[in-house]
Amino acid sequence: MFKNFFAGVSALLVAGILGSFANGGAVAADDVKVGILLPLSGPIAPIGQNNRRGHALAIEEVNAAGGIKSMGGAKLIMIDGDTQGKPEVGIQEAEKLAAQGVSAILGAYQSNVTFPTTQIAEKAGVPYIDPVAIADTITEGRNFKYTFKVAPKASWYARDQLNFIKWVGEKSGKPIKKIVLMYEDTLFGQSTSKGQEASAKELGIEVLEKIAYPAQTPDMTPTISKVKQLAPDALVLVSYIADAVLITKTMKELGVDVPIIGTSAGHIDPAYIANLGPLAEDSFTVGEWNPDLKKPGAAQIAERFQAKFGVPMNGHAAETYMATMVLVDALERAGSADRDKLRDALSKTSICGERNILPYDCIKFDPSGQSPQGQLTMLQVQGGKFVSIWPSEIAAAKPIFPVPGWSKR
Amino acid sequence: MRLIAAALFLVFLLLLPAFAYSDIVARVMPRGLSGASLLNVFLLIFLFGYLAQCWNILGGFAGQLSLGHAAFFGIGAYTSTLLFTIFGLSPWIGMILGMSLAGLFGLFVGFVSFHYRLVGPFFTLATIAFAELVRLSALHLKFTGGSMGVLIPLQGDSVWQFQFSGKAPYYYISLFMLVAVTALIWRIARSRLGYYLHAIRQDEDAAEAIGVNTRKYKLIAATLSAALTGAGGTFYAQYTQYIVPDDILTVGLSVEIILRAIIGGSGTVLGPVVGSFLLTPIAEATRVLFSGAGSGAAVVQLFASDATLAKKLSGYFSFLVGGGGGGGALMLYGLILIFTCLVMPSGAVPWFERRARR
Amino acid sequence: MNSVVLSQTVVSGLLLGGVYALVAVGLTLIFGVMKILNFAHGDFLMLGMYFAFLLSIMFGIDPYISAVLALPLFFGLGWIVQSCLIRPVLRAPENIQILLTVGLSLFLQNLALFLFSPDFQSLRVSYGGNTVSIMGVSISYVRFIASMIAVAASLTLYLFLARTDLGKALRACAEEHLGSLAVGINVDRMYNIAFGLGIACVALAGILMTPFFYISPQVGLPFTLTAFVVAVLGGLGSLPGALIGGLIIGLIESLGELFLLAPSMKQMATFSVFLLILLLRPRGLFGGKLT
Repeated sequence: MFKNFFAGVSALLVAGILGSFANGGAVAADDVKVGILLPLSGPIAPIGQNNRRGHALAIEEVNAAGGIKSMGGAKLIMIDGDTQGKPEVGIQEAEKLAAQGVSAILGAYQSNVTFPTTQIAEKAGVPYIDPVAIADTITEGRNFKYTFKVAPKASWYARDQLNFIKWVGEKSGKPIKKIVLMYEDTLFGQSTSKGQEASAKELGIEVLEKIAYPAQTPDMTPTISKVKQLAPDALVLVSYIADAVLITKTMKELGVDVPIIGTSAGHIDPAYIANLGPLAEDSFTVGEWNPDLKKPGAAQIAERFQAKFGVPMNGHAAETYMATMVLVDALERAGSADRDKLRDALSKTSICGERNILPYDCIKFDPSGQSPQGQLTMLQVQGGKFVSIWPSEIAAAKPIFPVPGWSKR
Repeated sequence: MRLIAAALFLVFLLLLPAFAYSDIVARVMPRGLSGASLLNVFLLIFLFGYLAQCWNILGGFAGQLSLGHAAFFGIGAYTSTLLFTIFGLSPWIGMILGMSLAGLFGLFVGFVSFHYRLVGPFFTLATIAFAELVRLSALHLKFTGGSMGVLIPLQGDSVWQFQFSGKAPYYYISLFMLVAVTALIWRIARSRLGYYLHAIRQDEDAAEAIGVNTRKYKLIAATLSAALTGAGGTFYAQYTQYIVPDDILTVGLSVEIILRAIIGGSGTVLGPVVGSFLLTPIAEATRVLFSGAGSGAAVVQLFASDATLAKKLSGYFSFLVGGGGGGGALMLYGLILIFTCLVMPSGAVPWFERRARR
Repeated sequence: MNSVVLSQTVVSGLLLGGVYALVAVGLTLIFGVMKILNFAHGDFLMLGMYFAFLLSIMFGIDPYISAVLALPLFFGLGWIVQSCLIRPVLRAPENIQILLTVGLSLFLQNLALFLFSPDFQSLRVSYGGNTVSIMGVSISYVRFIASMIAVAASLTLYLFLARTDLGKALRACAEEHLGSLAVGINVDRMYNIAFGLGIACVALAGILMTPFFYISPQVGLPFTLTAFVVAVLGGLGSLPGALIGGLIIGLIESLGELFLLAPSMKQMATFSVFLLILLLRPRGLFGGKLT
């Protein structure tokens, strides 16, 4: 009796476990599998989906033009890994992608997901290209051979942003002397704010207060009233989309007439304008790129993007597009999807001038995996769209500063 | 008889890593996944079975429903990880220290709760409150890395540093932990401690009346349960090499731990093990078969659009069939738990045993 | 510390506290009558939110109208849940009762996740951003309305329990189970009513928050925990306690955000208060009776 029962249960268990795997799935052997690690669902899903578009456009164009020529026209297959915006899920998805045999992983938008998942890729020997995540610690001090960071460093964001703040204040005759710094408390916010504090000090701008807030907080009224009381010349923010929208709304509710200067992420997302409507006007943000930049090729790609997806292309999509092109370029030079050969080809990347739509000359990688030339632009929401306003040499428009009060918007 | 079946199963488990990387398995695995994923599933079965057994000591045998065990898990994980990343201390030693700290915290929680005579739901609420405080502390204290957690740097293969590049060593360690703790439970069940705990669980006042020092034995159960759970935390940290509060210190994790014990049979020796073998594959299978959550934004747009009702419904249907927004496995767990409470509150193992006896 | 900032903080704390009160009132009513701690309480709040959200995007219905529609619906839902799931375990050990509602919570959260995906949704209304300014303090319309309706609903429930016959019957069940049976009260039906009312309350609270709070499958858990804190603080089973407790917790959270080192530490303040109450004065401020 007992032995029957136990044998039965054991058999059932084993059958159940193995059965849960009985599902075939094959991909053509010649195609190159590319793993895309992004927050496709969850609190920052809109940004993740937008990032994905850059990859999708690049892959579609490359496949339509005949695939990877040096590999006999091999096509690129995109395999999604949805991180849901959480590092622990990202780790599992990265492992899954590695186990599925991708030649490279591109991701993961968020610094705090990119940081651990690059280690997973390093351990598995899979080249990992980081298009957007900016934290300095992703490449600093790690000695990783498989990480390739196209995104500029967080400290450079801070540097360029504070430079702009000083410049726009002086140029308009209303110098910005005191700022309040508010940032979300994950790796993105923490590392960027460090750089911002340091750059502000260098430029002689006083940081009245540094406020860390929990991402996705539902109510920020007390904090924003504190900002109102501090009355800075500008509010510098490091936020993802939900908080960026909430903060702007709360500022309107409380009548806080302080210019908003965001640091990409939430502030550069099309959903920021879509969600806020007229309230988004005159917000500033650091931008990785903008369709109206005076850089050859930028406008054409933006048009194709708009035609395919029905939304304007923003800096993130431009970065993910170029990062995919970096991969394609390396595949062509390596002539193989083998991970190690690909890694070696990636380390010798040099995409310059007209082939690079990002606002600097060349995409290369230094020994730590970082792309050394990185220039950020500043954008402002004017007339319901993001326009580039700095650096003046490549910007399309002039900044509106000082910023009109809430009652006028 | 029963022992032979169990022994055979154990041999199968011991030999699995040898097969996992073979061709046969590779052909059976879905979506081109490798044998490493198979080992990963079993490893998680062992780990959660282990954690459920640890909880079983306090929740099953002593009958004190704790929903805060994630705190002990997290304390173990953070202790060994921080000692390693800051001082370079071997995680094995860190594990022992982590167990001590977790055990001490368990003793503290137990002492405070029992001293103030918290029973039933009030005890449960207190464990939740303590655990949430631990989670919030980890989120806000600088040295715990806040919401970004702690990443254990790669060291390659090193037994002393508790890091291996392959999955097999972790697999065997977790299997060993599960077997060892089950053997411990088996011994406890037959010991005087076990009988006292049983009495306390059945009727604490009656036990008190016949002279059992209920406070002392509940505290022993709490401390032991907490310390052993802490060891599981260290193992997990060394396996994933990344710990973050939202993953290891949540009420959700506490619930997952007790699920296996309750559904398998709390207060029994094999219940948590059976529970883990039944439940864990479901979660892993759905995670593997459904690649990521469907796009909720697309569905919302569809519903807000002017498309016909039929089109909206069919679009939604294909979204659901593709796995919907995720959560399928946990939904099933919830239903199984409800079912268990209604139909077989003592759990699967006692239910089967009763059937087998007829 | 500027007095305007302080008053602003106090006001926003009280407003949020009013909504907390309604959430806790439902929980405390259920506990008072049936002695069950509903761990799935916040998840019914989440269901209420999705109900209003769906009506809004599919038919353009304003959330305050959805709230009216929701009341009988969720009352009925509570009735059914109590009959099918809770009644069988009323005689079972307390641990099983807790586990049942935990299982229900797990199921509901993941059902919502499955049906709606983890994306955060928001219900936009045209008057969502409007505010009124009183003595320098800016008050958002929708938060004010939410709080007022929440408090009104709680008071209505209190009057119902104190003044009507049905209310008296419910109170009788809460205080004296056997006695109520003896005098012929249909205790079973009382339980259904109590649970139904509790669920209707918490769903209403959720819908009231939709104009200013995000909607997601996991939004329920923090509210369940807050409801416990409020209900225990006020005294489990006491309606006035839940009302006062809600306001107090709302204030603690708001002031905590202002004065503590990091806004995110306000939750620690709440849980610390919770533990202190559990340990030192478990019967809370107002002790055990419903009214």
